[in-house]
Amino acid sequence: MLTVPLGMALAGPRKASKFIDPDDAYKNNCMRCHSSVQAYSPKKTETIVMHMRIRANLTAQESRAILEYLQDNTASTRKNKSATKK
Amino acid sequence: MKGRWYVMGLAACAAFWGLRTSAQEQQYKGGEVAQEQTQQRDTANSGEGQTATVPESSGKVPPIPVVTGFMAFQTEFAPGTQTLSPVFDPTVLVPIGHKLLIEAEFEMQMDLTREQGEWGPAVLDHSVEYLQLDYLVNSKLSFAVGRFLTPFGIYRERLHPYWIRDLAGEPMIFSMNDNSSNGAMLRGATQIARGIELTYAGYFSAATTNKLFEADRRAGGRGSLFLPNKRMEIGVSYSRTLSNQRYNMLGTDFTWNLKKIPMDLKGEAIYSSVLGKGYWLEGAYRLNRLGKNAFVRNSELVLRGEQYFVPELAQTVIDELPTVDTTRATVGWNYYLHNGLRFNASYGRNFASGDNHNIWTAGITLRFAKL
Repeated sequence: MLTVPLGMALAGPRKASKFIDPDDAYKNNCMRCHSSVQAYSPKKTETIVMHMRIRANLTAQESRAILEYLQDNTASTRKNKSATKK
Repeated sequence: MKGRWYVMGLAACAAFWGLRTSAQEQQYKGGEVAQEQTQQRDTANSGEGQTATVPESSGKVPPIPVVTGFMAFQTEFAPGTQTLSPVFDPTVLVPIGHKLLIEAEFEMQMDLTREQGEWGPAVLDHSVEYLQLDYLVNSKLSFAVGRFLTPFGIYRERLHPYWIRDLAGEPMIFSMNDNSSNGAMLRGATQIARGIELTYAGYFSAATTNKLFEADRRAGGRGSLFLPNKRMEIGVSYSRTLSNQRYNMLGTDFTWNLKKIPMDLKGEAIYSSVLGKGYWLEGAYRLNRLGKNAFVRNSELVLRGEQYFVPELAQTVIDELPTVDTTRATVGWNYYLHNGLRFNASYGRNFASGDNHNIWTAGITLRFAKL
C-alpha cells in the first residue's frame, strides 16, 4: 500500500508547470469544501496552508499559489477595513 | 466526573494557546510584516503579466501556532426520540519551521436523548480525532506519524467537521469508516499530465484499546485522479482490518464542483462482505446568484439520497449501521449568517421494512478562530 507514495518520493521532481494562478489554485482546491475565505494574518495563513497541504493532498506549487492568494486577500481585506474606519 | 475535568483541562489549554498566539499576533498588527509580504509578492510578480508567478520558496514569514475549531448545537427529532447535541471541537496547529507540523483535533460531544418522554443520562463522548506529526518530505510527498484520520473515502477526512458538511446528519455508511488510525502514513500528490493530478495516501495502523486513542489494526490507502480545472475528482479506497474480525473494505468516491452554477456534487460508495454495502449522493446549490435579497443569497439548498444494504450474515461489528436494508432521502437548508456562523435545518424520510419514519434536524455551527 505504501509502494505508490514511496515510488513518487523516489522518482524525484517531474518537469511540471511551475506557474499556477493563485486565484485558480484557490478556487479549484479550497472552494471544493470551504464556502468563503477566512482572513488570517500571514503567519497563521502559513500554518493553515501547511495543514491543508497535507489534508487535501496539495502539491507544493498549489499550496504556494494558495498561500499567495490568501495573503493577498487578507492584506486587501485589512486595508479595506482600516480605510472604512478612517 | 473524570470527563468534566478533562473538558476543563482542554479548555484551559485552548485558552492558553489562544492568549499565546494572540500575543504573537501583536507583532503582525504593527503592519511591518504585512508590508514586507506585499513587497516580496510585488517583486515576485513583476514582469509576469496577467498570471501571477508563484515564488519557488514558501513565504519568508515564520508560521506560528494556530488555535481554531468549531462549536455547534445540533438537535434531531425522530418519532419518540429527541436528541440535543452540543459539540466543542478545537483544533491546534503547531508548526516547527516550514517542514514540520504538529496538528491535533479533539472532539467533545454530549448527546442528551429523550425517549418515551424521559431524558436519559447526559453522556460526554470525547475523543482525539487526530494527533499527528507531519513532515513535508518533498513537493509531492509528506509523512505523518501518530494518530490520524483514516484516509478512506472523502467524508472522514474532508467533510466530517460540522462547519464543513452540508447536512448535519451523517450518511448511513459513514459509520463503516468513522475511525482514526494510530501508526504512520505517506501521502501526497503529483501532476501526471497537463490538468491531471494523481493523489495518494497509504498507511498502517496498530491496534489500540485506550478509549481516547482507540484504533484497529489495519492497513489501506486511497488514490484519486483530480482534474483541477474541471474541479472534479474520482477516488478509490481500500482497507484491510486485521483485528479480531478480519475483513476488507472497498470504496469509491467522487466530487464535482460545477463552474457555471454554484453547485457541488459529491458521493461515495462502500462495499464490504462483512459490514454490508451502500452509497450516498449529495448535491448542494448555493443561491448566491439569485437576485439581490440577502436572505436568498446567503442560503444553500442540499439534497441527499442514500441506501444501505445489510450483508448476508448479520454484522455485529458496528452498532450504528441499520439492521435492515434502508433507503433515506434528506433535503436541507443552510443559512450563512456571517463568515463562520451557520444555521442549518433538514428533513429526511427513512424507508425500511418496519421502520419508516421522519427525521428532522436543526442546529447552529460557529467556526472560531482568532484573527
